[in-house]
Amino acid sequence: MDNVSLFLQTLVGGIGIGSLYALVALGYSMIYRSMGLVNFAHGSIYMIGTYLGIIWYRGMVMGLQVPYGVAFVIGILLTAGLGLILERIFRPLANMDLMLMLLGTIGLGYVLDNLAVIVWGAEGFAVKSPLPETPIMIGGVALLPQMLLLISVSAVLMIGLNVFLAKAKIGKAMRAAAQDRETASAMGIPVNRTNALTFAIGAGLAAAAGILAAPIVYVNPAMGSAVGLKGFAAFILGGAGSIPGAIAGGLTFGVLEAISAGFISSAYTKGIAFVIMIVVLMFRPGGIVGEVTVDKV
Amino acid sequence: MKKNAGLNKRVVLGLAFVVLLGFPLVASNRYQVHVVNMAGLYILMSLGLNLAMGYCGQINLALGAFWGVGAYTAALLNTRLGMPIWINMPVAMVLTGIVGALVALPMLKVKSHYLALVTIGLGETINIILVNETGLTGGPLGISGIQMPSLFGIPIDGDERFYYLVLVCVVIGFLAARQMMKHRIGRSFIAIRDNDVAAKAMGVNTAKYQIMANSIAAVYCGVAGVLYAHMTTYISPDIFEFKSALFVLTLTLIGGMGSLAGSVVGGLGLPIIQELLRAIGNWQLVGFGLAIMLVVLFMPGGVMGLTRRLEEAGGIRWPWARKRIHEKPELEGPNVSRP
Amino acid sequence: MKRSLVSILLLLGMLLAACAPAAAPTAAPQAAASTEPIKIAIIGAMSGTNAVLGDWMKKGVTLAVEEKNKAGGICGRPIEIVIYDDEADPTKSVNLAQKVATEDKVVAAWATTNSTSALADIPIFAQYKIVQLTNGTNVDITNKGSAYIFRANPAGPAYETPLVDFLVDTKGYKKFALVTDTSAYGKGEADYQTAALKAHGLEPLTRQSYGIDDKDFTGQLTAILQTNPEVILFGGSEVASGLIAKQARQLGFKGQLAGGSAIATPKFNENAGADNSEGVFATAPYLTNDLNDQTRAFAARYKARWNEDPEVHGANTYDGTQLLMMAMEKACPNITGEAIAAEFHKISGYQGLQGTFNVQPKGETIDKTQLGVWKGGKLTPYTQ
Repeated sequence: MDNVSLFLQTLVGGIGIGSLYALVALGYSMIYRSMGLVNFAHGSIYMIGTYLGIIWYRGMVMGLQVPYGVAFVIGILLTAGLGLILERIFRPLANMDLMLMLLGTIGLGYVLDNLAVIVWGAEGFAVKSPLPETPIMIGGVALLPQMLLLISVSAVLMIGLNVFLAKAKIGKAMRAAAQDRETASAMGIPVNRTNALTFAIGAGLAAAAGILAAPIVYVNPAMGSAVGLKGFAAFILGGAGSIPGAIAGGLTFGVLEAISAGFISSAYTKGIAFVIMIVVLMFRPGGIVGEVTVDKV
Repeated sequence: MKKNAGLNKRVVLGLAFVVLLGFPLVASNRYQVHVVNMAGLYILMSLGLNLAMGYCGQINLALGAFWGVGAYTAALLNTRLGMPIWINMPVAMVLTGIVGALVALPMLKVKSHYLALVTIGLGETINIILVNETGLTGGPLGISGIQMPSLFGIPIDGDERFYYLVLVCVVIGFLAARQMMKHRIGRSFIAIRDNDVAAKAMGVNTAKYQIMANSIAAVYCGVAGVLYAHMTTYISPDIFEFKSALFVLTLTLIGGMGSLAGSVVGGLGLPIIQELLRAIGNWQLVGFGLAIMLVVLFMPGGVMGLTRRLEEAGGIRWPWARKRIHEKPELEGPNVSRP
Repeated sequence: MKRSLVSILLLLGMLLAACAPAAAPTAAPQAAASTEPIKIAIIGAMSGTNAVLGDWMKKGVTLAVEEKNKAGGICGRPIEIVIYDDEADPTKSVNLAQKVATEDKVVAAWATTNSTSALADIPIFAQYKIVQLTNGTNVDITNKGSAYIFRANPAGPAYETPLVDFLVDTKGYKKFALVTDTSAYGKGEADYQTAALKAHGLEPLTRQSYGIDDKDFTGQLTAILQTNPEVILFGGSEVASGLIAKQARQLGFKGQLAGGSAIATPKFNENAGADNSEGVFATAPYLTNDLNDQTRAFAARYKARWNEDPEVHGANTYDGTQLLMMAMEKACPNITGEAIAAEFHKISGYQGLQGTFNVQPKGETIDKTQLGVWKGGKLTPYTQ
C-alpha cells in the first residue's frame, strides 16, 4: 500500500469513527440544550440504544427477527422513549448545581450498565452487517460498505437535524425554549414538552450511532464508556450545546485519533488526542465553534 | 449548660477514640480491616478533592492520576532503590504537589464542564504514560514486591498494623485541612469559589490560590498512593484510571461537598456499603446507582448537607449554581464568556 | 463539630455492626474428618471483554466438581465453589485473593483467567498457603518461586514456537507483523513470538499493541499494512483478535493470519466471521472435541450440562480441576493447602483432555500443543 492510499485509508477510517463521535456528541449537545444537563450517562444510553435496536435484528426478542433498517428505527424510537422518561426524572435537577447533575447522571450510568448485564449477560456478541462484508476498492483504498452506511446515514441525520431546528416550527420552538425559557413560555411554547422532545432526540441519536456502528465493532455492556468519553470530548471541543460544533468536534477527534494511531503511535493515541484537545481549549475556551448560551433555569 | 456541652463533646470524642483504636481487634477477619484501610485512603483523597473543589471550586477529576503518581513514586523508590516508606512519603508529596500545580496551569483559563474535561484528559494522559512506559513503570504488569514498612524495628506487616498507620495519616490529614480552612488560605479559597472575579478585584491572587488548591489535592492523593503501594505490595495502572476519580467524586458528593466531615462520612461509608452489597452482584450496582439518584434528587447537600439543612435553611452555593434552593430563579446562562 | 462527630460515630457503629461475626465457618482447621464442604474459589473475569474466559472457567471447573460430588466427593466431603469477578483487573484480583484467603478460607483457588491478575495474586496465595491454579500463559507465572502455583495448560512459548517454526520452515514466510494487547498475556505472546522468530534469524517488521478494551484497530492495522507483511500474528483476547482479523481483511489484507490459544476458540471465529477465519492457523493443546473417545465423552457431558460445546478453556479448567481433586484425595484426611500442594507436585502420567500431565517442581504440568487450521468455521488439526 503506497503512502497516499494509506493516508487516504486512515482519513476514511477517521471520518468513519468521527461520524460516530459526532452523532454521540450531538446527543450530548441536544440533552445539554434541553436542560443544561451534562449527561455523564450518555455512553450508557448509547449502549442501551444499541441493544434496544440490535436485539430485534438478531432475533433475540421472542424469536422475532426484523430487517436491519426496521431494527434501526425501532431502536431509535425505544431509546427516544427512554429519553422522555429520563427527562422527566431529571427535570428537578435542571434547577440545581452542575455537580449534582453530574452525580445524578453517574448514578444513572450505574443503573443502565448493570441492568444491561442482568438482562443480556456480560459477554456480548458480534453483529453481522446487513451489507456485504467485502470492501469496495477505490484507488487502493478499501471502503467497507457498513462504514459507508455509517458515514452517509450520520450525514443525513446531522443535516436533517440542522434543517429541522432552523426551519420546522417545532424545531424553532425547541431552540427558543432552550435559549430563553420564560420568554418562550410567555409566547405560548410548551417549554416542558419541547425540552422533553429535545432530550428524546439526543437519546435517539445515541442509539442511531450505536446501531450503525455495531456491525463494525462489538456489542457488549461495556461498549459505552470509551465512546461516551470521546463523544463528551468532542461535544466540549466543538463548543457545548452547538450543533455544528458537535459535528466539527466529532469529526476532528476521529480524524486526529486515526492519524495519530496510524502514523505516530498506536499506544499513545488517546493521550495525543486529549493533549491536542486541551491545547485547543486553552486558546479557545468556548470550543472550536463556540458555546451556545443555554438557559437552564 | 455550657459546661455540659463541653463535657458532651469530650465524651463523644472519647468514645470515638476508643472505637477507632479498638477496631482491628473487633473485626472478625483481616479482610474487613483491609476494606477499612482502603476506605481510609478514599477519605484522604476525598479530603483533597473537597479542599480543591468544595472549598475552592476547582473541578479536578485527575485524582486517579495523582494517586498513581504517588503510588508509582513509592513503588519505584522502594523496589529500585530500597527506600523505605518514611522517605518515599515526603518525596511523593513533593512530586505530586508539583504535578498538581502543573495540571492547574491549563485549568486557570477554563471553566466548569470544560474544566472537568481538561482534568479528565490530563488524568488519562498520565495514566497512558504509566501503562506504556514499560521500562520505567513495568507497564500493565505493574510493579510487585514492594516492601511493607517497619517502624523502629517493628514490622508493619498485615492489614491490622497498617490500619494504625492509615488512621494516623487520616487524622493528620483531617486536622491539617481543618486548620488550613480556618486561616487566610481557606478564606481565599472560598472567595474564589463564590465569585472569583470579585475576589480578584479585591486583591486576592486567584491564580496562586487556584494552583495551591489543586496542588494540595494532589498531595493528599499522593499520600494515599504511597500508603496504597506499601499496603498492597503490588500496583498496576488499572486502579488509577478515571473511574477511581469518579468514585471519589461520588462519595464526596454523597458525603457532602464542601464539608470535611462529609469526606469522612462518604469515604468510610461508600466503600463499606459497596463491599457489604457485593454478594448481590449486579443488582447491587443497580441499587447503588438508584441510591445515588435518590440522594441527588432529595439530599443535594449529601449526608452532611442533610444534617445541616435540618438545622438551618439554605444550601451550599457554588459559582455555577443557578439558584439557591430557596431563592427565586435567575435568568443568566453559564459562566461561558469569562476569558 | 458535634454534628460531624455524631455522623461519624453513627458510621462507625454501622461498621461495627457489619463486623459482628458473620455466618462464616469458624477457623477450625479442616483436618477434622467431617462432612464439612471443602471450599475452593474461582476468581476471574466475569464481566467486560474477557467475560467469556470467566464463563468458560466457571463451566469447566463446575462440571468437574459436580461429577466428583455426585461420586461421593473427596473422602466423603463435597466440594463447594465460591465465585468472584475480578473484571480482569489485577488490583481487584489482589483484593479478592485476600478475601478468599482470609474471609472464605478456601484451600484452593482458580485465579485467574488472565495472566496479569494471576501474577498479581501469586504472593498472596503463597503467603496463605493456598493452592492456586490458572490457565494464563505468561511464563513468569511459574518463575515467581511459589510452591503453590500450578498451570493447567501449556505456557506461552509452547504455542508460539511451534507456530512460528511451522510458518517459517514449512511455509517459507519471512515477513511477520505482530499485533498484541497490553496485558501480561498479550505482551508475553509478543515476546515469545519475537524470540521464536529470532531463533530463525528473523525480526518482526513491527510490534503493534492495543488496550484490552479497544474495539477499533484501524490505526494499528494501517501501521502494519505499511510494512507489507506476509503474516500477521495475534496475541490478545478472543474478541479483539477476531475483530482484528475481520478488520484486516476488510482493509484488503490478503496474507496469512495466525496465533496461539485465543485464536483456537469458537469466540474468535464468531467475531471474525467464518469468511475471515478461513485458513487461519492456530496452536492449542485442545483443538477440537473430536480428538479421541475421552474428549468426545467430555464434550457430550459438557453439552448436556451447559447446552453448548466446550472449547480449549473449558477443557483445560476441567483438566486442572481433575488434577486438583486427585491431589486432594491423596491428601485425605488432611485437606489443607499445604498437603494438597505437596501431593499435587507428585502427579505424573495423568491422561487428561489436553494430553499427558507431568507436574514439574515449578508448577508447569504440560507442554505440548497441536497445530490447527480454520476451515469452514471449524478448527481442524492441520495435516500436511
